[in-house]
Amino acid sequence: MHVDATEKKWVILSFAMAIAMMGILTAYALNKNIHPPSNVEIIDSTTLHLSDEFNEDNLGIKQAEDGSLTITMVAARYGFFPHNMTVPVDTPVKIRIASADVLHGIHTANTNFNTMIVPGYISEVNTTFRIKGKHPMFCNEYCGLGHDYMWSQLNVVSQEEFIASLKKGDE
Amino acid sequence: MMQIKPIKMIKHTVLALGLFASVSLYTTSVYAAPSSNVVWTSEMRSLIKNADAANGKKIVDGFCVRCHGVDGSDIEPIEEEDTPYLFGQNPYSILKQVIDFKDKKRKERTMTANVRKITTEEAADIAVYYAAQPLPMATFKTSQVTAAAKKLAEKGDGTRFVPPCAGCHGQNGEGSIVDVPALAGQSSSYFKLAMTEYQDGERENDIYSRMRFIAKQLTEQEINELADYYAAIGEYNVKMKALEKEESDGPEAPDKPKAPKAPTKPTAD
Repeated sequence: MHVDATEKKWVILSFAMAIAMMGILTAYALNKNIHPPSNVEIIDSTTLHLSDEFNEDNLGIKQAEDGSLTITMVAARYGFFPHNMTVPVDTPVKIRIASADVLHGIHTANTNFNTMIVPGYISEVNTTFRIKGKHPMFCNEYCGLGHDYMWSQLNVVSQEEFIASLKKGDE
Repeated sequence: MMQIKPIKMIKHTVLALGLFASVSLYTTSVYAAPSSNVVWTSEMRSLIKNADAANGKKIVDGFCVRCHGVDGSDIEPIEEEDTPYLFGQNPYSILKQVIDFKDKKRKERTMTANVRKITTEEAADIAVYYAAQPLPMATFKTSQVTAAAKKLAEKGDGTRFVPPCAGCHGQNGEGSIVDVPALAGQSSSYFKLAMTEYQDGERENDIYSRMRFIAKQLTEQEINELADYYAAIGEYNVKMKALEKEESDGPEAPDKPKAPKAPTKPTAD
């Protein structure tokens, strides 16, 4: 089969571009520790507010049995609950989040916390926040008319400030 | 071998213990009941789909009108109204509120006592009857609505995590799936009362504190202006009624203005 020399060059260039892009993505994912969530856990979204874990009063930061911190959150049109989260810097955190209605996504700027929140499933992410400061958390899956306004705030603070914030919250 | 300074070690130990103790204290908070027991399963939705509006009318005429009025509005003077207008309301919203009253998730002495006399099926009948009625008349002039209220309703305020009211309650205040109530034409005094109750935490049947959180971000002036904004939206009904009267009275006038578009009532399938 005859293939024109120019066409051959374009075919090679196209394949080379695709391979290069895959390489860049792989290197970036490995370097930034970005990977698809491995946890598969189902939950009934319609009864989410009646469940033990995702009950309104159980949302927020908790300590797991192994001593690490666990954040329990709910995504529902149009907000992430709780709205403001305070976490300590350089501390391993497990985040468990479920949707009460439709498909949502959550992305926290300046961190590798980025996951899709599928109704009926619990999304779980293990991460460590390295940069102190206030980071916005956005919904990155279109979820309805209020999607543009679905955002919350993650406040990464020092351990001293984190302890102080918990004590303040208890008063 | 690396030497660890005793003072640094003590500091780290104290911090770690403090972190552990604080988090433990935080997580041992008392578990409270959910804000609402209502779950929109297919069985619950079928209550509305299979409801009997004619039976609902009978119950409304003999019972609900005493407070909610014959036209779905309060029987008290406007400035003293403390019961909501129910005409044109989202039926799922009415049913949810009745169940919350029954479950004592929403507390109001008169309603808590009254809803004991009706079944959940009858509540669905009432809800469907009210939903089929036109939205209430406006009680406020559109020209008096402030730009700030319009902006808050349509755009929200991202700096305070306040989403636009229209995002959930509909662009025309008509309510939305599943149980988001209609606000168009709602009594401004009832609107203010409801928002104040959310602010104070007296009303807490909003799942995940959605409305409590939003209400706490708003000032008294903003609530008052939003109340007027939604009271004014009902004004389109005045025009609709005028047009209907013209149509029934005689032939169509040559320069008749075009009828405003009625908001679509929410459906939850």
